[in-house]
This record gives sequence, C-alpha cells and structure tokens, in this order.
Amino acid sequence: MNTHHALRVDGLSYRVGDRQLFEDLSLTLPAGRSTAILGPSGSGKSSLLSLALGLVKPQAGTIEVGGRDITSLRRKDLARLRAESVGMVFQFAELLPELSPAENVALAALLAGRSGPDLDEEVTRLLKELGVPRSRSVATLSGGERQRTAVARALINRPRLLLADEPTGALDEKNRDLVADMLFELPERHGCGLLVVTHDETVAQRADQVLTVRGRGLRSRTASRR
Amino acid sequence: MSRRLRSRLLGIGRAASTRSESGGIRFFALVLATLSLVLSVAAVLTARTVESARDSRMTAGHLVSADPSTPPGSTVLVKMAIDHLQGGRQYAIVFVSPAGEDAPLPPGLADWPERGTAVVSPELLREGAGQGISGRYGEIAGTIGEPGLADATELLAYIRPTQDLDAEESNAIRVSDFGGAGTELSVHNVHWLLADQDLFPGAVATLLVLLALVPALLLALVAAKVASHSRDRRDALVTALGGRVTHRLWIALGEAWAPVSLGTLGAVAVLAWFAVADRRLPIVDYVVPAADLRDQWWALGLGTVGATAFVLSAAVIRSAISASGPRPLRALAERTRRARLALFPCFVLLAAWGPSLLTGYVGLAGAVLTMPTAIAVGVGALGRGLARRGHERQRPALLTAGRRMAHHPEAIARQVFGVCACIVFLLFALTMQSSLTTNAEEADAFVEEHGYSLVEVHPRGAVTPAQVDEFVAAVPEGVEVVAYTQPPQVHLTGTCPALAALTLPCGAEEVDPSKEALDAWVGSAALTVEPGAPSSAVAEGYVSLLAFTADGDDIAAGVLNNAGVVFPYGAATVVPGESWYVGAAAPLEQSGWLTLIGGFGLAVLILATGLGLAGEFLRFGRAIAPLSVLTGNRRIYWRASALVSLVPLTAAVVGGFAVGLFTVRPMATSDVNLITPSFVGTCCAAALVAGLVVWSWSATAAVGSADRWRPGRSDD
Repeated sequence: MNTHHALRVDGLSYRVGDRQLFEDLSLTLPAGRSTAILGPSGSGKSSLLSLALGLVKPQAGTIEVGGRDITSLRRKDLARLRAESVGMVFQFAELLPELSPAENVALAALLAGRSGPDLDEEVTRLLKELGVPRSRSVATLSGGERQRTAVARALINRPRLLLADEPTGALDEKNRDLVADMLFELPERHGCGLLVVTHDETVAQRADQVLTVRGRGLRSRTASRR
Repeated sequence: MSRRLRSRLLGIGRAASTRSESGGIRFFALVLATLSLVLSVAAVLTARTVESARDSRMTAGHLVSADPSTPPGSTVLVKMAIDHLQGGRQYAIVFVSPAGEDAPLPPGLADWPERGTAVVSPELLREGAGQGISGRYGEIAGTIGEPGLADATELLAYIRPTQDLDAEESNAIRVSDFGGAGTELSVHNVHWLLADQDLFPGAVATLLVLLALVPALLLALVAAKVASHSRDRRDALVTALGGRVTHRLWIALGEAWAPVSLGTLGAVAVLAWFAVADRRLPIVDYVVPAADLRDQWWALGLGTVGATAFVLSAAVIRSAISASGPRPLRALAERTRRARLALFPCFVLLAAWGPSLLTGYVGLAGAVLTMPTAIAVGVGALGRGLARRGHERQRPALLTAGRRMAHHPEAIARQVFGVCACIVFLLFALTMQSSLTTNAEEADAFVEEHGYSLVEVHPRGAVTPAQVDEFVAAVPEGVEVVAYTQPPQVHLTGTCPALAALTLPCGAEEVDPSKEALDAWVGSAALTVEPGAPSSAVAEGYVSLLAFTADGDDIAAGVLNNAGVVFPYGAATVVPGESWYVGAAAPLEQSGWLTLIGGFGLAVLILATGLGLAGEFLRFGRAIAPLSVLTGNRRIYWRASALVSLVPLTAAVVGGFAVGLFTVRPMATSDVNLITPSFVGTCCAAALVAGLVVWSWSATAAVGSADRWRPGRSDD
C-alpha cells in the first residue's frame, strides 16, 4: 500500500503576471483525510486546484501527489498521474447530457484507458452506493443526483486525491447537506485525500482540517468534526 | 452612447476576434463568406453586364439589306457559311465582296482584305493554330478588332474570295450597312450562329444566383453562427450587466469587421485582377472582358458594399438578437416529420421509375424537400448504432459522438442538406443539358474506331472539274481521294490506285466493301464503283469527295480544308457522324458553365457544411474538456471529430451523388453522360480534403480549448 500523503505542497510560490498569489505556501493532506479551503472570491482557491492538477506550474516549491512531485514531471507522465491518481468534482457537475449517468461515469474510466467486463459492474455498484437512481438520461436527475453522479465519476478511477471545486455551490440547502455529507465520508471509505474548495462555511466544517486563504498563504481555522 | 463607450465596446469585440478561441474558425469563416459572397454578387452583376454588352456588339453585326435606291457602290455582297474545327463547335464564316469604295466595312475591320485573303478572330487564330488555320481561307490579312466580336472567344472569319460574289448567287445578300439600333438578332447577322449556340438569355446569371449566390449566402449565415458559445456567454453577460441591444451590436461589430474587411479586400483584389486585363476562365475557356468590368465599376462597388454589409449585418445581428419565442415552423416540422419520412422513398422511386418526365420532376422535387428528414433519421440511426457499438466495445469516442448524433440528428442533417441538395440539382441540370447532345455518341463511336482516316469533303458553292483536279493534286501524299454520290446507293468514282487502296476492284460493278472504315461508312446501302478521276463526277457544279489513307492513319486536321482553298468558298470536311457531334459541341461546351459555377457553389457549400460541423464539434469539445484534462486523454477529440465532422461531410457528398444519380439518370434521353467519373471523383476528393482539413482543425481547436481549461473558469 502506498503510504505517501495524498497531497503535499511545500514552499510553494506562484505569481500570475505581477500579482503574487502564494508565497512559501505549505499544505499536507494525508490519505483518508479531508481538508476544506475557505476564502473570498479571487483569493486564489481555484488557482490552488490548478496547481494541484499540474495545469499551471509554480515559480518555486514542490507539489507531491501520492508521493510524486508533479512540478518536475513531463507532460505525458503528468497526464498519466492525473488519470490514475486524481479525481475532481465540479460546481456544475459538468455531465454530458446525451449520456446516461452510468455512461458518464464509465466515460472517465474509458478515457483513462481502463476497460473490461468488470467496469460496468463497478459503475453500477458505485452509483448505487452513492444513491443515484438508474436512468437513461442525466436530464431526469435532480441537482443533487447529478452532483452525486459527478462524484461517482471522480471516484471511478480510484484516485488517491479527490479535488472538489465548490461542489455544493449550485445546490439548494437540502441537497447541499446530502452531497456534503456523502462527500466527506469518501476519504474514510475509499482511502483517498479530499481537498474541497468552498466559500460555504457549513460545508467546510465537515472537513478534518479547515484552512483559509489569507495573505499569500493558508491559515488554519477551527478543527473539525473529529 | 458616448464616443468613449462606443470605442470601448468596439475594442472588446476586436479583442474577442483576435483571440485564438475556436482556433480562429469563425474568423476564417467570415473571411471566406465575405470573399465568396462579394465574388458571387460581382459575378451575377458581371454576367448581366457582359450579356448586355455582347447583345449590343452582336447587334452591330446585323446585316442591313440594301434597298433599290442604295447606290451599288455603297454596298457589299455578303454570303454566310458554317465551318468548324476538328473537335470544336461550329462558327460562322462570312464571305464579303465590296461593290465599291463606299462599301460599308463590317465592324472590327479596319480595311478590306485583298482578294483571296481573310481576316479572322484572334480566338480562331489561336484555336486553329494546330489545324493550319492560316491557310484555310487563303492568306490571313489580319484579325478582327474587339468591336466586331461578341466577345473575345468568338470564332469568326471574314473572307474575301478570289472571285467576287455574284449578286444572283443564292444566299448572297446585298448589304448597305452593319448594325442598327433596336434590331432583333436574326439569321441576317454575322453573329447569328454564336447567338444560336448561347444558353438562353440570363442563363449564366440564373445559374450564378442558384449555384453561387445562394450557397454564398448560406455560408455567410453559417459563418455568423459558427463557434457561438463564447459570444452567447458574452452577450448574456453584457445583458445581465444592463447592456442594451446597441451595446451588443457595437461589440459584435468590433468582432466581425476585421475578418469581413479582410474578405472584402481579397474579393476586391480578385475583381481588380479581372479588371486590369481580359482573363480566361477555367473549364469554360471564356475570356471575361476587362472593359465590361471597368464599365460597371459603380455597380460592382455597390454590390461589394452590399455583400459586405450583408455579412457584417448577419454576424452582428446574430450576436445582438437572440432567437426566442414560439417557432411555428418548427412545430409544423415536428408534426409532419413522420409523413415526410414516409414520403422520401416514395419520391425517390417516383423520380427513378415514374411513368413520365413530369412525374420524374415531381419525384425529384419531393425527394429534395423530404431529404433533410431522411438524413436526420439516418444520422440518428447511425448515431444509435455507433453509441451501442461504443458501449459494447468500451470506445469513448464512439459512445459520445454516437450519442451526440443520436440526440441532435437535425443539427447534422441541417448542415449536410445543402450539399446533398446542391449535388442533386447539379446532376439534374447536367442530365438535362446532356439531353441536348443526343446522338453525339454516334460520331464518337466512329472516330473512336476509325479515327480520322476517312473524311468527307464538301466543296462550298459550284465547282469545276479543274478545281477538283487541283484539290486532288493539293492533298498531301498518302491521302487518296474519290468522288461519291448517295443515296439510294453509294457510288464511288476514283482512279484505279485509289480504288485499290480501298481494296475495291477497278471496274464498274457492285461490290462488298472489305475495308472496315469504308464498310462502316457505307452501312447497309449498296456500293458500286466506277473507275475515273473524281473530277469526272462533277454534276451541275456539285460533287462530294471522300478522302482517306490507305494505311488507316489519321489525316492531319486542317490539311483537306487548306487544299479546299482552291474551291470558290473553300470546303467543309466531316468524318462520318461528326455532324451529330458538331451539333452537340455547343451544348457540351455550355455544360462547362454548369460544372464551373456548380463546382464553385458546391465548394462553398462543402465549406459551409464543414464549418458548421466544426462548430457543432466545438460545443462537444467544450463539454468534454474537464474530463479529458483530468484523464489526460486527447485522442477522443481526434476520434470524435472524425465521426462528427469528417464522416458526415464525406457521407453527404457520396450520398448526394448516390441519390442524385439514382433519381436523375432515368430522366436522361441521351447516352452522353456529362456526369463524368472525373467530375464525381473530383467532387468526392474535394469533400474528402475539406473534411480532413475541418477534422484536423476542429480537433486541434478543441484540444487547444481543453489545454486552456482551468478549474473554476468557465469562460472558455
């Protein structure tokens, strides 16, 4: 079993144009644990996700996903690592409307190069586990069900690191609580690290660790439910 | 609105147009749309102007008959005849004999040619260069000037015979003047044959409207709409911020003016190139008169401004005004969908096997009208099949592209319908045109088998035996000449060596032709031979001659005509059946206009379809971007783009030809098929190339869009 942290950021400096977003930022997210990052709009929360995905490169520092420093990886290796080790949930689910929920989930696995007779079974099991009803189209799903489908899609490749970008931002209060509860149970059940970026304190409070973007770094907030 | 705000809004639009979003597809589409629309409008205007100028120049060739009061010295005797170059259309040759110093000169002639010389059109000199045209009508004294020609491609010759025309001779007209305002074109015109061979008045302009202007308008509308995602978002944002229609208009104007201006500049450059000097068009070999273009500079200017304004308006209005509200046509289309689908095969079968030409037309029109529904159903079924296969085989590109096709079949059907309809119309027009060339294949059959080894020679006018002897002496070595009469039976008169060369006995008797070419020429008629010089067969000044080579080699083009200069008005030559071909030459040449204009229109439609499909694919690309980034899979763009753009485009062309040929060919009344394999092959190859370009471009643009994707940013 891989004993490395799901995500480890050390001494990170990141500048966009003449604006210094982060300086000497550090963050450790062990596997099986969750971290929520709070911050006002424009503070750099989404940039942090881009850095964790390796979509942009920092000027200094290291970012390790599953023990591998992604800042030094070649593009091809980075893409492979992302496919094998990282899952992501978006604010608006970003499901393909023409596909069924099961196909949307399976698509992520197929694109990552996975195939085989067990895939459909795994998809069905995952959707059932997350409470997504069987349907021919995602158009008939509620907002919460769509977001849970998106979570299933993020989990299908068994990622070590699960990123969530405002995952409940488009949901009403009831669905927000349902999705948030389900999301924060995932690290324990699937052994992955969960990094949630949100501006919703009620969601963030469910995390093991709550950080806020302050200045050019992260500051710890109150501890969580555990 | 303040000037500063207007300038700022234009700047926003300008910045949007220069961004590489969508791989510059809309920029390129607007450039091409403007270019093709301005050129199409200019072509329609030019066609009308050139036609009018031609009519005017043709009128100048009208023969004004002298009345009894006209002084004889002020007249010219004119006799018109017809000639043709080997493999070409017929043209008029005009024999002229001025009666005195005041005789009116035909238009385009500076002086009377000397007796036994001729003045020919530059195009005749050019086309006949390889067929000894310089000796065909006597010595060439000069060329006919522009005012004397309908256009630069007219074949025409003014010949002054050695012996002056006799006023009593049949077909000779005493002419007191050329031209005359408001004169209708008639056979009393030196250009009558050219006018007779023309397409009907306004035909080229009509073809240009149908096959060039309409596709160009369609391309403009597609270009206005293509890759609209970012614009739609931007417009929604501007509206949400309190922006009004005028604000959106200014932004859209800033975005569209650069590509539209570029397209206009390109079109103006092309027009300027045509206006500087006479330019020869490909396929039809027609020379566009630069002077006619320059004469209508103001109309071309207005047309250019109008076409540019249309593209700009389409691009701007599409952006500024959103389509909403009830769609009665769409609702009607939904209700009649089943009926249209059921009717499509019925119409196809009616067109192909209908009892009459009228039912064929009805079937064809119905098939075209119901075709979009059939295509949509086909696309939907194909999409479902692909998706099923993608699901079974776990192929993400097949699955996603198939589902997209199955869910939005009308979108793809709309894109490809224009190409299919254009192909069907083009095939129909070519088939109708081929009906005018009936029997041309008979000449082809003889020439293909026997070449030009056996040629009939028909001296014009009354001849003497001495002239016939002179002709026989003038033909090149290796060519034998016999005289003939027919029908009811074919009777040959020739010297014993000449008859022997035809493997015929040298005696007065009925024989069977053993030489293949002769056998084919004689056909089922009885053949008799008689020894003697061909000149002995001259009867009442008339004789028909048959020239041939003993070894079956071709007689070089033009040598018999040049030898025929000894006759008063030269000699017409024709291979058996060639008269059919010569008659078909004009419709065959006219079909070049269909091919040229139709080819242009088809290219524009293929472009419009390709761009439309690329736009459809970019929507898909945006939807899949987050997932493809996370999984590092870019191949899906290439595979899905091939299915969404390359396959429909090439399938549309191939399908259009299949349905078109099936429905249209039964309407053909001639074996001559103007829909040649090379034409079909060229169209399919063009579609394939366009499809490959669109495929690689849209896939690259989608990959680029995915590369720019970032979490939390949805403005790409």
